[in-house]
Amino acid sequence: MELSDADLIARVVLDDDHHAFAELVRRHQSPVRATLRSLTRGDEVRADELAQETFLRAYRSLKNFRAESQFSTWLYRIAYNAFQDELRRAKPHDALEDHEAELTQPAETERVDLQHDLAEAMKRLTDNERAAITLCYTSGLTHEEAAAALGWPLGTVKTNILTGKEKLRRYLESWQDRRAT
Amino acid sequence: MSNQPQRDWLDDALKENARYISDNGFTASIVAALPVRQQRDWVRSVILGIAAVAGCVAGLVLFPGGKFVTDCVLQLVHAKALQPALIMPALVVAGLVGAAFIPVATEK
Repeated sequence: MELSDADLIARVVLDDDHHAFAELVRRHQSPVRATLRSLTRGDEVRADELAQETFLRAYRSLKNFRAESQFSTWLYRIAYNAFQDELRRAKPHDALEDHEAELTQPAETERVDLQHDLAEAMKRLTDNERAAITLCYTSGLTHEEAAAALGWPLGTVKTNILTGKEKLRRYLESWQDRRAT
Repeated sequence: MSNQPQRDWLDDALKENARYISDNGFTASIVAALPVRQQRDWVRSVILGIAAVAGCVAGLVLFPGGKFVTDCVLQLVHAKALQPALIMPALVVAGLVGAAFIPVATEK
């Protein structure tokens, strides 16, 4: 019988069970790493370093997990904080600025398929838009869960999703036309 | 109304974008980076050891074959000279206890 996340967490907290923590990592590594890859605009090495930092932080703080939210939501919050901390370290002067990427290459030049173009278009969103869309679509969180994970008001999540998706529609206009025909 | 089809294809594409990332040693790297366990290991070993001994004693007392073994061990204790018929049950008991302690000895 497969143990629930709550059972595994209890084993880690009460008995410092590394096997139980390994199982938690195995279960959640894919969505956490995918989310961080999206946040880092596809930088896999950086994303995996942040994912490692995320799980180590989670291990250290697991006794403080109150189960008021799902474990995965709590992990996303740690991952997002790790990402923000890294931004602050990298750019101490404008760490909190929500910047939009300047791509030197227009999205049309490498039109391989929709997913490729979508990944490129996602890189052109602001950090906040990308975070909100990634958590709600790639990670499958509800708006409320995403707000909890990001530490934002619900309205901010919705606004960023709205503006982000409007931009994506604009960047992917040709795909929109193809789908319509 | 005209926005509905647009939202659908984009929503679908965004959800399709969620692909599984295989572990490829990621979990192992996390576990390797965890702080070394220091506490409670000896408690676990003591508990497992006591459970192993209790299991052996219960097995010897409760099951029919156990009486043969205990009788032989008692005879061995009181015997004036060693005989193969007495040594064999002693080896069986030693093997049982040894097997019971294997998990304790190999547990990490």
